[in-house]
Amino acid sequence: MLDQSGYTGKNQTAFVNLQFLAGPRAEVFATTLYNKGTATIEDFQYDSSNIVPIQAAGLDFALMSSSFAGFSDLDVTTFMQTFGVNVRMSNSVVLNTTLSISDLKDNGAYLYDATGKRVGFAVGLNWIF
Amino acid sequence: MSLRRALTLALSLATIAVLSAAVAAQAPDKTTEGIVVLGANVGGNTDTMNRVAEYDVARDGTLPALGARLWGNNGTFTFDLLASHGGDSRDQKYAASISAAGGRVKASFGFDRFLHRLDHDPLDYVGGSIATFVVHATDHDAGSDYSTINGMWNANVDVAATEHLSFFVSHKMQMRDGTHQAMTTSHCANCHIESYGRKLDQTTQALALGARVAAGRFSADYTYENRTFRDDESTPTHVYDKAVHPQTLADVFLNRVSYDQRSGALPFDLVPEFTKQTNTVRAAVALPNEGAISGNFTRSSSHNDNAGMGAEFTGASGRFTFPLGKRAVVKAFLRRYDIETESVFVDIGEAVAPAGPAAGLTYQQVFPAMGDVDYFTESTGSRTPTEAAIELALRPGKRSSINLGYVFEQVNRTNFHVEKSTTNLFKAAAYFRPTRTLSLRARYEQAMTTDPFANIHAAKPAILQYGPSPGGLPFAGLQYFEMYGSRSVNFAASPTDSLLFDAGATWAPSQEFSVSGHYRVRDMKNDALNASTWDHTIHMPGFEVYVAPTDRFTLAAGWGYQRDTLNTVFSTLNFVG
Repeated sequence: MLDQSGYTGKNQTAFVNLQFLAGPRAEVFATTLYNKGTATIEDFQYDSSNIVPIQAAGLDFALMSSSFAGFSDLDVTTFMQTFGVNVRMSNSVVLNTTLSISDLKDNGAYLYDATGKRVGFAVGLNWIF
Repeated sequence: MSLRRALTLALSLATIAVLSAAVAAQAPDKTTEGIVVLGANVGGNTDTMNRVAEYDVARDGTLPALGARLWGNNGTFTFDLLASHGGDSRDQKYAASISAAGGRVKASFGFDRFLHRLDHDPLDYVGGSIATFVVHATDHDAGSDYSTINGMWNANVDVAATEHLSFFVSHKMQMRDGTHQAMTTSHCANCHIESYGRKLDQTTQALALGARVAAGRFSADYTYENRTFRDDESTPTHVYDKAVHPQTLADVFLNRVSYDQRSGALPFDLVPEFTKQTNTVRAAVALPNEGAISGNFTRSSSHNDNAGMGAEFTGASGRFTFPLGKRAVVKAFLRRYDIETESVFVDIGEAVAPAGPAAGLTYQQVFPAMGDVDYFTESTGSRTPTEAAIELALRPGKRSSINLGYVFEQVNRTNFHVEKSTTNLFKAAAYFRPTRTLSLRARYEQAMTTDPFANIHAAKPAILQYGPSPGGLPFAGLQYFEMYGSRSVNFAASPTDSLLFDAGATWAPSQEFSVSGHYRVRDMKNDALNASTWDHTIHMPGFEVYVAPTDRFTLAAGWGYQRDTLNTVFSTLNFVG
């Protein structure tokens, strides 16, 4: 069976980075990242006219015609946000803090639902010598 | 946030200190400076981390984080040491760089260990049946999470024996331990996909050593490298289903497959071990007025230790740069290499049908017309590409440049339907800065290929004998062994015509503001196929903005888009089952 078909993938990414020196010893920063990707088979339809009757009644044709058009049908959205503060507590001590959110939505689960989200907070005390 | 990022942030604030340290490290005075980081990562997870944290430990809970970086000079040598541990053995990084004897002995070492989460296809969408025709799947390790722990080690030592002669040696090792999903399929009677958790203990090592000479305008080096791959885990085995007639379930189909349940446990998902030796010689001569000529010769031999086959690579290339006055440069490039792979003898297991019309006969005995079923397989990888390129770079003014080029490529293949592919590529690029605040660039490439790589007679076979054959053996009508030879449609995923256009502009009226935009389009098509067309088009626009309204606030933002459209023929064999 043959069919002239198409496969279209679209992906767009946007980001915003902000940095602000809040004082002589403090830095505030934030990063936002958004990504959306889709992909799909288009105009796919196997023609059954060239299938002999016993084959058209078989399992292959029914399975392929009903399922192939949905193969690699992807729709994934990713959002990542970080927000942090760095503070120079003295000439030799710096405190880092960062809050991060990573959120992936699998809107068209393929094989399995890959949706996942993580919220994290990191803190670090740096001694510079 | 990982410790690595925390350390990076700390270093960004301590930039001045680091620069001072780097300068101090070159000075004869004894100095030791550094950063020590103590911290913690706290996280909460929802659903799977397979995509959102594919390469991170990202533990649900709290982990300590430790790190340190030391750099300095102890009077004898300079050093730069780094260590970080993310509170989990799967998140570690260590590095060291040492320079001694006035820079004549240099050594660097590094080890990085990280997690890689892997997919686990649940196979829960596989299933269908009509009477005795069945498609189904069994996951013998359902619900397990798969991942590998990856360790990357590298060591480099460079010793300058004299002013003109130096020796170098390097050792790289990649270790991959863990479990991935391994699948195999039983055919005939039904299509039965079975999945297992397959343990991995893989090591790739590369040991390289060589020498380098440099005198005046001449330099040359020789490198020998030995690369090996080993998997110390045992290859999994599987007992396949019994091959029977898909409609009647009679035990008459064994001679149509090479193995089934009666063959016992058979290996699958075997990862072949290999060795490879490479010898490389390079030489370069610097010519007056920034001209140069260089060349290299490489010969390598690789061997698949499981299949008992190998491949030989022999290649040479040369590059020539010749200035034409102060405003023009001519560059030329020539490369030719040959890849020759050994043939592999495929010895088909020929089973005998236990019952039915072909009882006691192999499939070949039923259909003598098919000839010998055993064969030598040849690789499409055997080929001899030749590339030649010439480029003219012009600088008509201080604020502009123009590049014009031509590339010729020809690939000869000894064991494939398409014996020769020839590509002519023309390219042009220009840069122009009409004012101090505006810069423009553009690039155009067009390629024409005669007989690109294609799969000749890849699809649409004649209709297989679909009903019971009248009479005795051999069965009448088109049989399986004749089906593939009857295909008539050609497929390709390589273009006969290819076009690339890329343009961009940046406007930066001040140091506090700039905006850039770019657009890239690539259009490829193959209109030399006999029953379809193939084309692939990619559009990629984007822009970036930078704003710094005060010396205390900066903003950077951007947007990028990609639209990728492929048109081709989808083809699937439709069997009776």
